[in-house]
Amino acid sequence: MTNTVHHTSVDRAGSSARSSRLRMLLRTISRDRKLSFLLICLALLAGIAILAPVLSPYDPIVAVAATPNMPVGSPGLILGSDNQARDILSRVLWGARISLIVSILPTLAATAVSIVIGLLAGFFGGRIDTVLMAVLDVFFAFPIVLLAIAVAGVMGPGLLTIIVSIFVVLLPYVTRVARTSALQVVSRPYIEAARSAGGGQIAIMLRYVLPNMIGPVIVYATTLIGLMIVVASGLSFLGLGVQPPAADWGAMIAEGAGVLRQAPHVTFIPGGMIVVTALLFNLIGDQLRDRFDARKAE
Amino acid sequence: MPDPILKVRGLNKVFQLRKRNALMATQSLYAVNDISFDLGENEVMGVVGESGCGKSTLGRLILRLIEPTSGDIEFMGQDVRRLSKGELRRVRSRMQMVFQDPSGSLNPNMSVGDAIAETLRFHGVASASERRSRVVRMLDTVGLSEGHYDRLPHQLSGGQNQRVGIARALIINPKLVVMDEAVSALDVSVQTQILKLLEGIRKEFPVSIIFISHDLSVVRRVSNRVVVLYMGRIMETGPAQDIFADAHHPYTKGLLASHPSIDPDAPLPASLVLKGDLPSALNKPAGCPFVTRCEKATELCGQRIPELRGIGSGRSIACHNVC
Amino acid sequence: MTKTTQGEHLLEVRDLRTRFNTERGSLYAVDGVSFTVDSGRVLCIVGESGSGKSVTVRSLLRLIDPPGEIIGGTAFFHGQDLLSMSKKQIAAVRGDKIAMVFQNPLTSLNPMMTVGDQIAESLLLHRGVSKAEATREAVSLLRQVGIAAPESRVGDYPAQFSGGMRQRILIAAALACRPEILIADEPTTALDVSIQAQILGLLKKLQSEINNALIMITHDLGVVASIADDVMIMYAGRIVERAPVREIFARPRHPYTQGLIYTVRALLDPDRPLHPIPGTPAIPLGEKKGCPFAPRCGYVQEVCRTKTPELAPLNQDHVVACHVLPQGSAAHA
Repeated sequence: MTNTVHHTSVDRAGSSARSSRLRMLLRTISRDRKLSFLLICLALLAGIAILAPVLSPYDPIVAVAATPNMPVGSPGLILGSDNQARDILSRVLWGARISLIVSILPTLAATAVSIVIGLLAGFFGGRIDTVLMAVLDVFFAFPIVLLAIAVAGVMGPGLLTIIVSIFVVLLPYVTRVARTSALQVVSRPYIEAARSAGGGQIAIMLRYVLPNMIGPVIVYATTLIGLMIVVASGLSFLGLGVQPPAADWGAMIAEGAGVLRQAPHVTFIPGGMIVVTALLFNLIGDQLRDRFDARKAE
Repeated sequence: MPDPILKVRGLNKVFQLRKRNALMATQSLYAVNDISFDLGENEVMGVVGESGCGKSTLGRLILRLIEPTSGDIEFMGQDVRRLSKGELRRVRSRMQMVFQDPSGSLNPNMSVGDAIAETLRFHGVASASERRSRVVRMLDTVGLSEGHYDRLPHQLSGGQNQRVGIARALIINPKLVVMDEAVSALDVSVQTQILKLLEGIRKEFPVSIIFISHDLSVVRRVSNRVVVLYMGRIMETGPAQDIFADAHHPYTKGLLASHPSIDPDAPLPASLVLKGDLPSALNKPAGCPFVTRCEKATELCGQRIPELRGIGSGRSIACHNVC
Repeated sequence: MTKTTQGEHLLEVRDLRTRFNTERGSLYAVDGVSFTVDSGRVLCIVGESGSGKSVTVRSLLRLIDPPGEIIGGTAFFHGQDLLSMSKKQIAAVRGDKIAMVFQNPLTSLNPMMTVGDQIAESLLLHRGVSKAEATREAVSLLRQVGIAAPESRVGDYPAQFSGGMRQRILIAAALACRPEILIADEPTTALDVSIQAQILGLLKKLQSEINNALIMITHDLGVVASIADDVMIMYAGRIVERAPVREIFARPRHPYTQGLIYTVRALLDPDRPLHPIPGTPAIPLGEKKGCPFAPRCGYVQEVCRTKTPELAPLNQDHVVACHVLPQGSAAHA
């Protein structure tokens, strides 16, 4: 028996439902200190990546230090220099761009496509579902490294190779989550209610199923981003990503491996950035999950 | 009955249950068996029965949310079963449903005002601003205010959500509304509010209602006529007050006797009248479905299904032993 | 609440308070509840959502998990306070001296255990009998609760029984150790009317054999009328009225009780207008002063909003918590 009455302020008459829902969303986010803090961190990170050209003290691909492997705190080089006498700080800032792009872009793309596929599969079911899932099963078979190598063989190593490889590998996983979410929503009473009210298939799909199935998919995708940073860095480490001398956290680890004994900071600084970024996204995903679960529990 | 808006003849629904493994035969669930009735304009027909009697399935069959296995449904002169998808959608503007789960039947991501407007939107009625003003008027009719327009379902109580559900059904001015256990999930005091709301609304909007419920007292209050279902068959039908005051069918009698009265000095409900459990709907009984529990059962009852026949003053009964 | 002297009641609850700490504030689910229970009698606790009826009985058996906590009161049972017993002590009471039957027979039985094992569980736990002995007793209990051919059914699983039969099995399991108090939380709400009648009859019959006290939670006044000896009406965590069953139906004195009874009577009489109680059942969120029913009450006065009414005796066995009505003349009922 549901009889709870929540006390939210009554919106002034005339405000449309959409803006009031947005306002409510912003209000919930700002009320939640953990999530706000994490989102601010994310904004900072994104800001640093975008402003790398401005913030970076030196050119990241040019040797600017007096000697290679200068330690942290050296004059003029806050984070020291790497094995080719380049400024680590500048390379980290510029590398942030690449790392964020290769993890966020394919994940976003895979999420968008999987939402569409999952929605169609879950809504129509039957043969459409069977066919779509069968096609997806093929994708499931690809191990990422082999796929990346194959793509690199065709397209040459680089940013695009990593992005495409990650996209292809992620697609079946996110689609599975999207499909399950869609199936759950389709079985809810309000879908039948909308049908009985006279709703057509397109209207029900777009206004009833889609908004209610997205939550779990987004949560899942956010946690994937954290993982993809590590995966993308790994592929870069293997030489399948951006080629030297371009700055990229994974490549920086590879280059620093040679001087690990003498100058561990060359490896650990980019490594640390990967860990922190992945952690940030995972924590955001956790918070979002709690948010959605709390709503469902209500 | 002068020109009924709904004519149902010989309605059947058999569900084919999925086999649990390849070796098992497919099982059939006989949910609705040979149901026929007429519904007049502005008439409230109560449908009562216990679990498995098929009352919820019946509601969905009439609206063709589920496809009937066989039988005829004629709504306002149209053969509902022959309608194409597009025609069916149009007919849905004339027949609506109110569901059992008040908040579950509303889109959690849509404001209740928009949810009510959706019914208009689905049928291409009125412009956006016209829709809004009609919704506001409807909110008032169901006892809510304009301030509720932008609320989401989880911000409202069960009773308020059910008012939204009723508003959503009535805003398109349907001729028929099926209310499927529409008050069962609400607290008693809230149930009464909704019933009173319905009484008031029926004075403003003449509409026929099929009121499905397991709660005998509620059905007694709202219905003009009552249909008593058992295992997917009509056992008895007639004017509500007549049936409740003087039931003829052994099942109806047993059902009414099982209902505890609110007189502390009345004896405990006659639990002996309805012994045993409801039989499984997986087996199509040879004779009357009530034969396993009926005190008056004879050999004939187990062999031949009794037909629903009129016994005068608008009453019909399906029993071999009652005249 | 029969005419026994103080201290002779089987269970004496005084000022029970249980609070839930939620994100939205403190929920005083049980806010100062006192009542007594005697052998061989049936106490019906009546209320709607938010009344605290379920939380009350769960508190007695200390079945309250965080974010809920029992914050006050005593519940004396054989000279010991249930609310301050150790976990071990209360575990010994549960199932043995005080047993509970829950609302939903579908989810209250373990689908992976045979019904015989589930009935025998409390016997094995509390009586230390052998498995064979416990199974024999389980068969006997199944027979008592009306399950046909119990010897062959004792090894069946819950899924092989109907809802009504599962409720009987739950009752059998609860009564295995012959408890002194049986608590039934809306035992028939999920069942059909005809099955409900059977279960009520069964509970009464068993009570006459075991002479246990029966505390039954329900929202259905028909069930109350047919089975109760004493009735307790709860609203927003407090008792608003308490009286023997005939008294409460004949002379309800709290506006809420009157509203409920009037409603049920009006449903049976199509000529009577419906006078629904306006508003939504209150949830006792936060510390509030005044009568929780005030926003919905037709007799409300200024004092109702500022001063919380206490239960005051109307006559020997009838107590009401209301500032206005008991003093004035009888209202419509």
